[in-house]
Amino acid sequence: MKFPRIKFTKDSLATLLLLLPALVLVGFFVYFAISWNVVVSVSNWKDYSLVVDYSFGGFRQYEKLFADPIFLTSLKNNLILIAIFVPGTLLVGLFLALLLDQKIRKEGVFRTIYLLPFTLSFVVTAFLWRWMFNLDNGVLNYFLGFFNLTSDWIINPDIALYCVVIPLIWQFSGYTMLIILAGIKSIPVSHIMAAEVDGASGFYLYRRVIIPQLKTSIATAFVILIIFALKAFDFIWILTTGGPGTATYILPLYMFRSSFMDTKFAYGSAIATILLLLVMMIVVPYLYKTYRGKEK
Amino acid sequence: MASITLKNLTKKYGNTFAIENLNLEIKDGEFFILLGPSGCGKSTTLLSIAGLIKPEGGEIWIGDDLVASIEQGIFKRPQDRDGAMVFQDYALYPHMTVFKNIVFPLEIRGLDKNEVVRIIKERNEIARIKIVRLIKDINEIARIRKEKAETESNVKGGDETAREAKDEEDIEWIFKDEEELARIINDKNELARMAKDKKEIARLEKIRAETTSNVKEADETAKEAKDEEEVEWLFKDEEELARIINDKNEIAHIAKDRIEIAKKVKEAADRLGITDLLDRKPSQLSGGQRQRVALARAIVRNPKVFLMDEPLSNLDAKLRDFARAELKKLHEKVGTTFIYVTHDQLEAMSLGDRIAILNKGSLEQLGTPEDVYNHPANVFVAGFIGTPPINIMEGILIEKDGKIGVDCGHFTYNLASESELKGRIFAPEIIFGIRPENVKIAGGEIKEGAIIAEIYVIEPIGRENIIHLKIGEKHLISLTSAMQDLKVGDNVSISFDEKRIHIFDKKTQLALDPNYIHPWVNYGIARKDQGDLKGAIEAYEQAIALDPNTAIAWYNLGIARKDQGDLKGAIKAYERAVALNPKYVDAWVHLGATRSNLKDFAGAITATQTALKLSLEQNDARSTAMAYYNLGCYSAGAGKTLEVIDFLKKAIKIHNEYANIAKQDASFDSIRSNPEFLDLISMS
Amino acid sequence: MKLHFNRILLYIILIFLAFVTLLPLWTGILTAFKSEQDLILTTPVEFPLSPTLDPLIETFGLMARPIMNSLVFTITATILSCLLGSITGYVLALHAFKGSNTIFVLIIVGIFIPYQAVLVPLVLIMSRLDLYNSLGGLILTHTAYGIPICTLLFRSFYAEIPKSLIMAAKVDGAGIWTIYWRIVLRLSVLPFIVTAVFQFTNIWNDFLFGLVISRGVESMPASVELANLQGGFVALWNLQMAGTVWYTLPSLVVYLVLGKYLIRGFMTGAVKG
Repeated sequence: MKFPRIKFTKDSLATLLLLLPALVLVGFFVYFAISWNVVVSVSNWKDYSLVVDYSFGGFRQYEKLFADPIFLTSLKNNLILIAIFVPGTLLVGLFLALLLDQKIRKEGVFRTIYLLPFTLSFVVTAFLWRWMFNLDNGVLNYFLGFFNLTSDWIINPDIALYCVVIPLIWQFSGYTMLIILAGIKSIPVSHIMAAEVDGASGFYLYRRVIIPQLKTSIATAFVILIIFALKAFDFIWILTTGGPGTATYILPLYMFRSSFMDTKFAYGSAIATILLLLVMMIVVPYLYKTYRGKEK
Repeated sequence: MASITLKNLTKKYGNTFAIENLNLEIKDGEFFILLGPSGCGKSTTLLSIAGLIKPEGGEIWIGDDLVASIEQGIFKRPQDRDGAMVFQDYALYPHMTVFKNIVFPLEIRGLDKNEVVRIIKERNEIARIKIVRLIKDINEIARIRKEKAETESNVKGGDETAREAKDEEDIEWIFKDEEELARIINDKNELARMAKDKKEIARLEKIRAETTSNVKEADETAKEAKDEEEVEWLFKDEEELARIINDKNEIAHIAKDRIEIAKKVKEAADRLGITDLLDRKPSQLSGGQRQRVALARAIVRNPKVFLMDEPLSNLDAKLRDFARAELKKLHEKVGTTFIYVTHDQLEAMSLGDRIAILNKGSLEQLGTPEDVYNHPANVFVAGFIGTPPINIMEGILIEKDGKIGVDCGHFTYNLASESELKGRIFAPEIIFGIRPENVKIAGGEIKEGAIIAEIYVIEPIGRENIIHLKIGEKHLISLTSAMQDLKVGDNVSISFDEKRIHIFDKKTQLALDPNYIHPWVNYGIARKDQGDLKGAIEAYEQAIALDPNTAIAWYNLGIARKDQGDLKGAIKAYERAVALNPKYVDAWVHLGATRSNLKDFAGAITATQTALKLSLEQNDARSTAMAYYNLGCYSAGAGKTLEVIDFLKKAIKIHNEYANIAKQDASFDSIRSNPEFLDLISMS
Repeated sequence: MKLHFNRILLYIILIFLAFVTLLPLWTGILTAFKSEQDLILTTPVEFPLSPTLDPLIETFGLMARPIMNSLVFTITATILSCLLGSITGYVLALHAFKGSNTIFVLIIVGIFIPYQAVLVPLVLIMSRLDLYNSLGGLILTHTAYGIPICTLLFRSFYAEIPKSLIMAAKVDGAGIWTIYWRIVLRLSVLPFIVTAVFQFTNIWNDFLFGLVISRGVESMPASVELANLQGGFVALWNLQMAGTVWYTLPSLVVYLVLGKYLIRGFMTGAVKG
């Protein structure tokens, strides 16, 4: 086999040198680490052991996974989370964006307020909402108390997962709004003017002219939200730690528990690999669509 | 200053050619225009010359410097090509002042370490020699000290003296002296001697500082600009100064360099009238000012070639007219090769010494503005050059009563100078072109047999009117004086300026213009270069068919026929060529050679003697020598031994290499034993 | 008149939503100023009867060191990832070569991966490099995983620099590094602010890496320490909220002061990525 002769000019050498730190770090911490993780998932590393053993142990961890009810629950919960959280956030975000597009006075103030939750750490969100959900003197029950309606919120295994979605929508709506707002702002004014001259206005203008042009922004938000819903960890870990029981278990959380609480590293790595595959199923087509054909 | 040569330049984007086999020779000092519609490859060509694009094939020469040859794997970076470029959007560095923008290329190049090391070494060497000499001559040192004292008193004279010293020579003198002093101080013996008197050194140090500060003030550039930043730049910061004080040689050198640079910047700024703008940022400038800064940045470096990519197209119309004139003036002043890309034919015509018109990546025509306007090589060029555009109509060449005419359907136009197009009826489908200013509208009564047109629209553009005419279905534009009294709807008789008629072959789109050396010839040469002899001959024959009076086509046809082995055909072609152009030296030479190949030595000698006569007339030593030598060969063939020796003598006298050649030449086998011949060839 | 009514309704909705958005923060902050008694006596949205700084003072002792830790590694990793992202983004945006787009996509994949997929190896790497439970380990981790998003942001910004500017610099004799140092970097003030604010917020808010890399006070990030408070002060909501206030304060200040840059960062990151 012949290798093409690579000739380094002064410039291409400089280019390589400048790229090197990023390539080394990303190559090592992303690609090498992912491969390593896969190796661990098929290794003989014993459960409950801190002694590393990389010898090949087959795919039994993966076999175990699909017989593990907690794993299946986590997977199911992840999917439910996506099914509620993503459309919910998109709707609220779209609504906020359309509201803010009405030539509002102090638009900046409202935008700053709506986006504020997104700049908070998930740890903070979890803390604030644990307080909101608090049974005795939580804000939610306080307000619902006026109507003689109270709930046991995240303590109730039947509704805990849905309760978790509320703060997430609270946190992500502002961000979604921002993405959609950027999409609205990028529609040429002449477009909207032309539609207005043609007699379109109000609701009709939005439905027929503006929203159809937001496809890209909404798709972007959609992808980002799905990926987040798959990756979410910090927030649920602190709010419910997966409980009650396994009611709010999701894959990242179960992976963390398996690896770092139960010290079943090979098993945890297998969960992580499945999780990675799920995320890549979304990311790869998205990146392909966004950057395809731009290669020079 | 340099000429630019492009050989078979090719650049592809994907599967489409941006430039295809482009060959251009741009002369030293020429204002050369690359003109064409967008996407024609003109910018790609320019960027390839600059080194900003790597072509897929071909060679680029800047002067004697091969800067890109894909076949040989040579590709020089832009910074190694010594070209300067002006961009359409000027590409001024937004964060730098005008001064820093202009100084940037000088500064960057100044950073070339090898060069700096070389200069420092050189200077140290000079300094060493000078020191040795100075030590020998203590009086000299004393004299310099005295000068130093004078300097000091001058310096103490203070700001006034320095300010009065507008003369740059003065400043230079102060620095020179400083340099000398530095050298002396550097010399160890001298240093030791001086060290005895620390006070003296301190004093000198102080003087030096004062001198420096005075020089700062005195420097004219700095003073005029009144820009602290600039002054600071000259001497950067104090830390650097302190460090540099350790090496006095260097400070003198660098300071002088920087003053040199500042001077250059000032010169460039002066030249473009932007001296007042030196401390502004690009965002504070108008379009015209930015354009001039971009030019200043280009000229400050004295590059070998200026590359300009539509530098005027971002200016508004009024400013553009002015800037165009300025640019022309600038070219006259700097005298460097300018390569200028534009899609604006008016710019091209008014600025260019020569214009290359490109379309779809290949060259349509190369010539002076007058050339491309009056003798467009093809329909594209005719249509591209000129506003309002040329009138183009399809028609047929007809011959009636021995006269040639053009039948355009709705009218027939008789050509007065019928002889030129006679014999071209074999390809009667033509395109008829006439520029609007050559369409005359006759006033008064309509004459019998004239071409009648209806006035359709009148567009007044000031001094002139654009008259849209209708002849049946055909539209025609005429550019007439606004003084002429015309009304829409009038029927008028029109006439064409005979000498300005353009006729193109419909199939090839090429001009049937005897004044234009036919592209078919070039096409044939290119084919021959590729080894396609048959194709070449076809092309030459086509050229001859289109215009049988082109000597160069006949000449090339001859060469091709000879290469093919058709010697008799070759001789006929050469004979035709010299008949058409009796001063065609090369054709005569080849005619002689080919006749001799057929053993017609008498004919060969006649032809070569004509070539000799022409060579002597033209004072062309090379051709003369060759003619003498050839005459020798043919005389040998004819058995005229005496004349052989005579001719050979003359040939060797001009170029003694011919003795060597003769030694091995089979033509002389018959006289090889002749003592005179032996004598002659042993001369070398 | 109808139009007028619509406008009023619009503002009512906007203000109501703003109220809903701020409610958790509002009640959280109020609670941080309540004594245990007030916690029982007042409703969660009421002001405390006798405002007290005690919860804040009590939690400050616990949070001070972790907040210092967080500040140190957040600022360091922000600077490092911005610099590396800037250089990488510069090369990929302005000196594109065959395969540069592929390299770019391969780099930004790092934005999207679930960190669980690298968590076990990360812990192993850190302990091998002797960086486990150290600020250095956190700096390295956050720098490495920050490069993809920084590269994305800087590449988007640099793509807007006119190509002619780079060409002019090349013709003027500048090499790839000189162009970066003398020109591109000088035009990068805004991109650096935007990316730095963005990265600061990201790293400050991180919990997962801190959770697996730190074990003790010497490297414990504020986020992890705050989570630990939960176990320490069960049902002591005023203390939990006080800790939350301390942890949120630096990032809240950054948002309120430099919010518009953060918003630009979000937009650039989302529209292109």
